[in-house]
Amino acid sequence: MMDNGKKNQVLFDYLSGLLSPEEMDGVERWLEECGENRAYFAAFRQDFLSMRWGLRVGLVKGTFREVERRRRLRVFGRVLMRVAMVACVLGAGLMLYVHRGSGAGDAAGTEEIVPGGMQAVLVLSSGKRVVLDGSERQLTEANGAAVYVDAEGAVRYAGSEAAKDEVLYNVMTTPRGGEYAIVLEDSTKVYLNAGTELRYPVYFSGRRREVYLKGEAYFEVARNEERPFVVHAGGADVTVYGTCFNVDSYAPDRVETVLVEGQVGMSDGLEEVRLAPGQKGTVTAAAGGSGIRVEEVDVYAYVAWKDGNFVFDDERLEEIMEELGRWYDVEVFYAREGVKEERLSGDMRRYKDVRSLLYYFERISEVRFEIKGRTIIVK
Amino acid sequence: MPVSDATICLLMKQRDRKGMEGLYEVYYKPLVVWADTFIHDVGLAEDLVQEFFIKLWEKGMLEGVEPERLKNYLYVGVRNRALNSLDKNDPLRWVGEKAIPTAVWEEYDEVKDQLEERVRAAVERLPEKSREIVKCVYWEDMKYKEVAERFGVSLATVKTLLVNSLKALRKDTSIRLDVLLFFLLKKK
Repeated sequence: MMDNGKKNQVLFDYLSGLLSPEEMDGVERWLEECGENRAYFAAFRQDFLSMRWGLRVGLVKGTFREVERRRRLRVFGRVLMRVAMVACVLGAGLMLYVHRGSGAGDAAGTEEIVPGGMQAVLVLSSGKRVVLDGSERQLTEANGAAVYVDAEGAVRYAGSEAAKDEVLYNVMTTPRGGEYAIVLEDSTKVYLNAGTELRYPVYFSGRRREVYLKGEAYFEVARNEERPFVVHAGGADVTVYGTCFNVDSYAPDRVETVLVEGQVGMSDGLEEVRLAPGQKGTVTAAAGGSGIRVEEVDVYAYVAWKDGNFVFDDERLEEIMEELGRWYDVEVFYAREGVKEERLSGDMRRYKDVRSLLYYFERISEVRFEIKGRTIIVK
Repeated sequence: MPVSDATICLLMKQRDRKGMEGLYEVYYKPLVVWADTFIHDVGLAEDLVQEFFIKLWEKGMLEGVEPERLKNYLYVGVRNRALNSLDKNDPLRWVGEKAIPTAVWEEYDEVKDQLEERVRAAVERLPEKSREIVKCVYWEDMKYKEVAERFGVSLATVKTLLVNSLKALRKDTSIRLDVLLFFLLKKK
């Protein structure tokens, strides 16, 4: 095949994907001719590729945060899909139920709606599941760290020296109608609301204390300036240095943080804002980074749940019913869409019968409630 | 200190997101450049590698992978995905398995730390026209035809200048891989 200049040109085009199939065959036939040709090609290819890589690597822009953001958005999408599917099934089920109900009288309705209580499942690093129902017990983690469950039910971790080498994670989940409190190894206290999952290391090693939240939790973070505490929730990271705040990531596409005291930074992977006490930061999963919204709020309404109260301050009925649904483990069905937008206020102990709150709502608004089995129908 | 393959595998097995961070730190750039070798589009290559990483995490795909095999697993996985994403019916822009076998990346791996800086410096030392053409093709992703039009030269001239630049760059960066490897081995 011709002189070196021409040869290089053809090989260059070959590697650049600029040859027709016939021309490529030509090159491949030439390669098969002898070892000398193959060696020449190997050297040329190496020059071509290493120069190409050297030239192109500067164009790579992606950051780790971008990868994480993409992954989280994916998860959001899936959760959204699941919620939509459940809603469809539920809707269909209700139609069926209502239809049947009209013919055959009230079949269900014997089930009592009771408020939630202290219940959770602790998953150890071995995958062992321990149901926590308020009885005292002591467990041992794989690395020797002790896990105490006291008479009040609170779970405490005590790290041992041996525990420091290996990073083991525990997962605490509360079902609908459950709540739980936990004291992490660094003395940080976390209250988990109903239908929530918290993943955390048995022992905090490394420069940051990181935990992963799905659902809602109230944090009282033990102060440690050197090692910031980071809550990863949905599309947001909340970074703190010792402070009290609430994180709500129930909504599939939204994370809210309300700060009670101290200072926290809230990030959506692109930007970070600092929240002051009394402020609420909201990260929305809308593509294109719509930014973090910050507003002043009545803090009490957002954290009352951990002291056993429901507090609603001019809230949308749909959001109120979602919270009641999680706590009393009931489904909610809306007879008409418009009713979701009603705004109501009120407060109540969480441990009372849901009827007293609904009765109160009926008195102050046009909204009517009907309880059928474990479903509340809103009209 | 870069994270070791053993650490990455362990963290990924424990479903610790630090594993993802380590994976990103060590392998993201090289894998993107590797994917770009086949698809000639850094943006698409980044998408491809990010999707690949997320899949690895979500499906726990690294669980059965020994640390010694991690590097190989990643490069082969990215290459297969890159080749699959190509329109193989396009007679041009298709560089087959024969032209760029998998093992080639190992040589890149040896020099990647110095490569970018040296090549960039060498580009600046090229004659003006060659320099501009190299920049248009490799940094601005312009088609050879567009470059030819911009500089008012023929397509053949553009390609010749690129091949010559390649040779000049290689000489100037003095990264002859075989030579370099020889020195690396000798030092040990």
